[in-house]
Order: sequence, then C-alpha cells, then structure tokens
Amino acid sequence: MSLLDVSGITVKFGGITALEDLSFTIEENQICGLIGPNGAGKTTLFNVVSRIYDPTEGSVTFDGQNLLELAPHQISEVGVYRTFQNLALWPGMSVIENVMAGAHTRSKQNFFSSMVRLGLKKEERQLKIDAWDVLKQLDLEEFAFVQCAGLPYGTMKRIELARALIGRPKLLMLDEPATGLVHSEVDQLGDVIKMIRDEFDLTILLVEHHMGLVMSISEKVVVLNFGVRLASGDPSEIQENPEVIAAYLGTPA
Amino acid sequence: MQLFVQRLFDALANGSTYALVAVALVLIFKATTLVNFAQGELAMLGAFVTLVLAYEQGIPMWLAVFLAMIILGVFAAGVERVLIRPFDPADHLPLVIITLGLFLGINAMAGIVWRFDPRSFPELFPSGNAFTWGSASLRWYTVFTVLTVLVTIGLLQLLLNKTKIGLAFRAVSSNLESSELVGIRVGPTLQFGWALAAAVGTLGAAVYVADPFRQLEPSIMLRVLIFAVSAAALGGLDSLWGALAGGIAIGAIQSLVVPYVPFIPNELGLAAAVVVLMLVLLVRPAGLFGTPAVSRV
Amino acid sequence: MPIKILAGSSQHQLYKVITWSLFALLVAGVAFAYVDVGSISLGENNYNISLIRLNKAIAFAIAILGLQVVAGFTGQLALGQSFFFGMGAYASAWLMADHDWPFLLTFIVVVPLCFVIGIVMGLPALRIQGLYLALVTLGFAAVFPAIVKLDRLFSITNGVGGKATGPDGRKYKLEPPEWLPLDGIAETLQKIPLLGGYFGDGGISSKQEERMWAFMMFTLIAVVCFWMVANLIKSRQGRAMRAVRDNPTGAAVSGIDLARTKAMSFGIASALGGVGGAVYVAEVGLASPDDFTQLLAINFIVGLVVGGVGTLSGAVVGGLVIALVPDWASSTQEVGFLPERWLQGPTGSLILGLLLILLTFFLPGGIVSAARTLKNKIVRIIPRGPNGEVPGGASLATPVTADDTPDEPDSPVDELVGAVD
Repeated sequence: MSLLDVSGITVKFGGITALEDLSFTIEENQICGLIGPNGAGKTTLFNVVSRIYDPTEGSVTFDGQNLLELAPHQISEVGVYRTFQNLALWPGMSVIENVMAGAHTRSKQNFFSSMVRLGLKKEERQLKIDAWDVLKQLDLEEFAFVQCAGLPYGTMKRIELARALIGRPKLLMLDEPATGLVHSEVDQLGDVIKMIRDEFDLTILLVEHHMGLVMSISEKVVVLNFGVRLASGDPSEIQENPEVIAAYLGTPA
Repeated sequence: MQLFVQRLFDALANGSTYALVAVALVLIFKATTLVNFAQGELAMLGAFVTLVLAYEQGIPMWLAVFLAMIILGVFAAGVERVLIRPFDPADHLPLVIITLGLFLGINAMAGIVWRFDPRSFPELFPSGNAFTWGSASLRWYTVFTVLTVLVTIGLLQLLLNKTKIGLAFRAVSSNLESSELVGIRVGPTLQFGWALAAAVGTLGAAVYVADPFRQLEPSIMLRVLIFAVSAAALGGLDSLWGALAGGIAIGAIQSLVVPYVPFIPNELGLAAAVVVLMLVLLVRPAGLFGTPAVSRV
Repeated sequence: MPIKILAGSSQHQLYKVITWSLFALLVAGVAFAYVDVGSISLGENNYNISLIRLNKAIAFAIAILGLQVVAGFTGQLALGQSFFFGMGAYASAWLMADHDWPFLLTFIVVVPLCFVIGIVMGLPALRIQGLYLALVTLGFAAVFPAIVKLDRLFSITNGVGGKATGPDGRKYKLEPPEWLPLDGIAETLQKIPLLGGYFGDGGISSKQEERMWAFMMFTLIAVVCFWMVANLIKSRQGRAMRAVRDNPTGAAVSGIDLARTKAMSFGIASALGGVGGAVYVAEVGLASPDDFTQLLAINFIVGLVVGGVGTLSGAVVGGLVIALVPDWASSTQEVGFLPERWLQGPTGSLILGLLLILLTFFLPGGIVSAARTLKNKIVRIIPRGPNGEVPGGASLATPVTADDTPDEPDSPVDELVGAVD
C-alpha cells in the first residue's frame, strides 16, 4: 500500500477550478517531486493535504488514515509535516523555541500542569536536547538563542526544516525549498534532503521550480498543468515527455 | 400602534446620527485599515469649534459648521503628517496606540479648555414636527438628519468613484505597495483621508448636538462612539452604505427591539447592540457589507 | 561590563539568590514604611505614594498581566478586561459581605467563575478576527456597569450604590495573623542606622497593621500569579500561544490546536482579571458600578502598552503608571508656570495620552524595553544548550560542572525582564 494516496481531488474556488480530478501515489521512503508552471495548483494540493483547504471532491489517504477527516492541527499527529513557500516561522520567539514548538504534538504538558511546574522539567529538558540535535544536524546551533527574525533567508528556511523534523514526521512536504537560494546552496539543499530522508527514515513530497534540484533527487515526478495531472513517472521519462515539454516551453508555432 | 410609529421615528433619528459618525469611521478605515480611536474626539472638538465660532464670533450656524469642518480637516491633516506619517502603514500596532493616545489627549484638552459643564448648542434645523399622527410625531430634526446622511454619503461616493483623488484613495486602501509602485503619493492621500474623516465627523457631531434635547460637553462622543463603531462594524468597516445600514440597524435595535423583547431591560440597549454585532460578525466576519480579507498562504 | 554569566552555572545561582533576596527585602521595606512609602515633591506639592495606592497598583498589575496573556502573548485583541475585573470585585464582595467568607477563600469562586465566563466570551473570538474582536470586547466592557445596575440583580449588586465588602456597608477587615510579630520587626528595622527613620517610631497601630498585612498578602498573590504566568510562557503551551500570535497557519500545521489555545488564553486572562478585581475590592472596600467602565478597560490597555506588550514586568510597570499618574495629576495643586485650570481632573489622561504617543515614537517596546537594554549593559546571562554548549564560541573560561542545570527558575529580574520574550 502506498504511503500517500491522493485520489480524484478536485478543488474549486468559486468559478475557478484549481485542481481537477488529481490522483497520484507516493511510496514509503520515496522522494517525489511535484512540478508544473506557476498557477498549476501545486500549493493548492499541499494545502489540501495539510488541511488548510477542503477539496470539493476526492480523497486523501495517508498510511491507511483518511486525512480529510482531520483538522489542520491533527495531521502532525499522524506524521504529516510541511514547510511553507513564504515561511511561517514565529519571529517573536528564539530559534530554538521555534524548533521546540515543532514538537508540540509529541509533548504532553498542558496549561495547568505547566503553570505549576508539574512534570515539566524532564520533558522540557528532553525537548531541548532533541531541538539542539536537529539544529546541529542542520548547522544552526549558533543561532539557537537568537530572535527568529531578520536572519538570512536561507537560514530561516533551514530553521523551518528543523522545526518540521523535530516532530519526527513520516511524510515531509517541502514547499519550494530552493526559492531564493544561490547555486551552491541549491546543491547543498539537495544533499541535505537526501540526508534527512535517509537519517530520519522519511518520505518526501517536494514542490519545486528548480528543475536541476527536482530531477537530481526525486525518484518520482508528478507534473501538473492548469490543475490537471499531465504526467507521472521517473525523472528521465518526464524530461522526455512531449506534453511536459510543451507545457513549459510551448509548442512550435 | 402610535407608540410603535413613534419608536420607528426614534430609531430613524438615532440611527442616522450614528450613521453619520460611522461614515467618518468607515472613511478612515477604508484609507488606513485602522479603527481610529481618536475619530470621536476629533468630532467633538469640531462641535466645540463650531460653538466658539457661532457664539463668540457671531457667525451664522451653518457657516460655523462649515468653517469648523475645514478647521478640523486642516488639524487632522497636521496630525497625520506629524504623528502618523512616520510609521509604516502596514504595521498596525503603533498606529492604534497613537490614536489611543490622541483619544486620551484630545479629550483631556477639551476638558481643560472648556470644562465639563454641558452647554446648549444652537439648532441647525427648523424645530417642530414635520408630521404628526396622533401621539407619534416625526420631528423636522429627524428628517433633516436623514437627509444630511444621505447627501453626505452620496457626495462621498461621487468623490471616491468619480475623482482622481478618490481613485487614489481607493487604490491605497486596496493595496498600499502597488499604489506606491504606480506612483501614487500615499502620504498625502492618507492625509486627505484623515482630513475628510475629521470633517465628516465634525458634521456628525454638530448634527448630533443640534438636537434641542441634547447638550454639548467633552464626553458626548464617548457614548455615540460605541454605537457608531458598532454601526460601522455591523455594516462592514469598509462600506459607506453599510455604515448607513448599520446605523439604522443599531438605532432600530435600541428603539424597536429592546422595548418589545420582554426579557431585555431597557437599560441594556447598548448591550443588545453589542450582542447583535457579535452575532452578525459570527456569521459574516467582515460585517454585513464589508469585503472579507483574503490572504495567500 | 557587562558581567557575563553562563546560564545554569553556580554564578547564575548566586545571581538569582541575590536578586530574589533584594526583592523580598524591598517588599518588606515598603510594607514597614507603612503609610508613607515615599513622597515626591515638585514645587509646592507633596505626593504620597501610600500603601493604598500601591495596593491598587497591584490589583491593576494583575489585571494587565491577564491582558499580556491574551493580547501580548497570544495576539488576541480581547480588550474588555475591565469586565472581568468588575466581575471579580463584585463576586468577592458579595461572598465576603453576604456570606461571611474570608477573603482568600473567595478566590475559589472568583477564579473558576471568571475563567469559565472568559472562555464562553472567547468562543466568538474563534471566528471574529483582530479589530472586530477588539470592538466587540470593548463593547462588553462598556456594558458591564449597566448589567450590574439592573434591578433584577439588586440583591447581589446593590445597584448604583455599590457593594461593600463587609456587613452594613462597611469594609471587610483583613487582619494579620496573631503569630506575626509585626511590632517586633518594626522596632528592629527602626534601629537601622540612616534608614531607620523611615520605618516610623515605636509600635504599630492595628490599622497600620491591617494595611501592612494587606499589602504583603496582595504582593504574595501577585507574585504567585506572575510566577504561574512565567512558567506558562516558557513551557510548551506558552510556545503554542506565541506561535498562534506570530503565525497561526504555521502553528496549525505544527500540531497546535488554535481554538483550544485561544480559548485557554481567554480563560486564563479573564481569571487574572477577576483576581485583580478581588484584590481591588479588598483594598477599596466597595465595588461600585462606575469604577468598572470601558474607561478602565482603556486604562488597562494604556498600562499594557506603556509597560511593554508581551512582557511580564511590563504589567507591573503598567499597573503602577495607571494607579499613580492620574492620581498624582489630580492631587497636584500647583506647578509654577502652569495656570491652575490645567491641573484638574483630566490632566492625568492628558499625560497618559502624551506618554503613549511619545513611547510609540521613541520606545515602542515600552518602558521595560529600556530597562532591559540597561540591564544587559550591566549583567548578561548567556544561554546555553542542554549539555552546557555555548553557541557562537565561548569567550568565558568558566568550565561547565556536572550539576549545572539550565532549568531552574530564573531570578525575578530575568524572569520578568530578560528571559521571556
């Protein structure tokens, strides 16, 4: 059984159909790239899976669980985590607090117990250790106690990644992780993504425009255009698919 | 039945004054997406200026109101230039705090200069009744107030939709960054918005106090403001006609609903208005006629 | 300068012991300088900062702490704190006057009552956003006096006249316990060279004893409240609250239940408002409807902002400012060049208004942000990783010892000024 099964997803906003009958699957431990021209519906699909949008039709099954019956804050409980194209970090907290908050689902203190410091110490210490480990793996410890605002863009992207990783996700959805990075950083990013997939035993779904990155690290690529699935297969198949080429480059006049 | 009709007239009277002040609030909101705490106090200041012009300078009433509107407009433009312009319009917190500071400051200044004893305010409209039916009477005051609101909104709509400055105004309130990029001078446009709102507020306060049953003192606008804010929010903070609808609705709740619903004591007229506001916002989070905020994730 | 102290080290422990002891001494000192804590003289005026006014400041500080929880840390513009302040005051007064409950016991009712009603009133907040929420909550604050004056509730609230805390319209007496040797402590303090004169002369009258005891008890209540909120902010749910404030979408996908977090912040904030109200009515002796209008709600907002939004010590500063400034302004009789009419009634509001505007221009983080900058020039606590790691390289020679634990409570200075936000 595939880890993620997207089936017949249709999303309409008023008169606009953002996604039309979209279906694809992802196997466990796979890195799957989702590509397509701007406006193709990639982020919409992400938002459906992370439950920010409700689809008009269709189903999404993750690890046997019907994802559509969950609220946005419940998807982390089943192991689905994501990052954002425009970053959704918390500038009022320090970097390590941002990361520790990513483990919210895994921890137990509630409002009352924390106000009187009941059962706090051990869990907080463990969270801090976990956060520190993740920061180290992503080369971020020097920023641990710095305010999470005003840092370089590439650094903030890694912080968001760290925040997702500490939750021990099964499926990690990365929304345009290479945006704003320079060439050398993109290569590094590719290595980082492969590294975390191996080290953390993850499955990765990746929306990306940088073709070099997508084709080099994905094992499977799904192509969207105008909300419809254009093609699906391994990178070499996709690169030779005439419809995909037409969608990106246009056809001869 | 006649009592009902009288209440209907009361609703109209109250509602239209709330609407006039609500229009000022909507105007400033459209420009800045701020709720301006200071709006009511600027209006109150305008009413006092009118009084000073009329009583101490002997200027005829309507001219005094007009002059006061201009004076307050200039004053508000100055306030915008000095206190508001230095801040990023997108960052609301400092701006809200400044308007809160203005609210406290202007109210205090008025209290210091004019004290708190109520003063009578000359009438703006003919007195007496336009229409009587048994014991229910529709005062000329009410008729003219409604007319004033309608004319004001009409003129403002013309200004916003048919003039260049109005276009700039709408552009700025819709998307600040893009407006800057196409060369609209945001600062002066907002300044104009402030001046206009202060002028309309002055008109609203003057009309409110011109009611022979009311008197002017520095805290009058506090009461009206709550109703006016509820009216503006109810109608949708960025809709001028919504302000009118909201004002009438609040007036109606006060005069029509509360007396007829047995378990709401009359003193809770304001409470009823707040509850209604809350209920409407639950169903339509941007008010009855407001445009909902849409953001990209 | 600045002195650098590694978090969790033994110097850090020493630092905490010193600062907490100084704090305790300050409280004791203030209590024992009873009626006149200090005078501020400007020209011909003597303004006495008495325990009465300080007690009100404590009550306000607790209420503003509630505002910090819901608005400062969770980003919800629930600005009707005066509603719960009033509710706490009336509930406590009613229990003490009509049912003979001791003051501290009334908290058993006041806290859950305000908590629950706070959550109920917070439910609409889940749908209503930002500015509209601010308007609705201020609306509720405006309505409180009318509710309390209702005929139907007269037996509980005593209508326009206000509800006294003791029988027959008198004030509830807060009597210090027998075993506390207040006289003895006072006489000892009077023997301190140089400062002894401030602690009065000879024994303490019973009225003064009551006042001192009230002050110490209110301070203790406030310390407990601040301690609990400090714990909350640094914990998992505290991070959740701040996440909801800074980016709700990010919070949701990180597993934070937005509705629950917001609702709880409302509940806690309202409970704190109620506690503040109970302290207030214990001090003033009378819960009167026009004490709890939307003007009080606005004052709380002023206190929130002047102190510093999103800080704990800001609540204390805010409480002091709104308790003392308007009061000082209206009791000041003469200031040199200003004509007399300027010094009546509204001058306090004028000062607050000016303060807000000036702060926004020059000190947007509130007074506390200036205090923090100052403190960081004198002492700096360097935070460390879970195993003592110092990020960015260590410029300190002090080795890490095995029993250094980074999870101890901070000193009051850091708790309140540095460590949180």
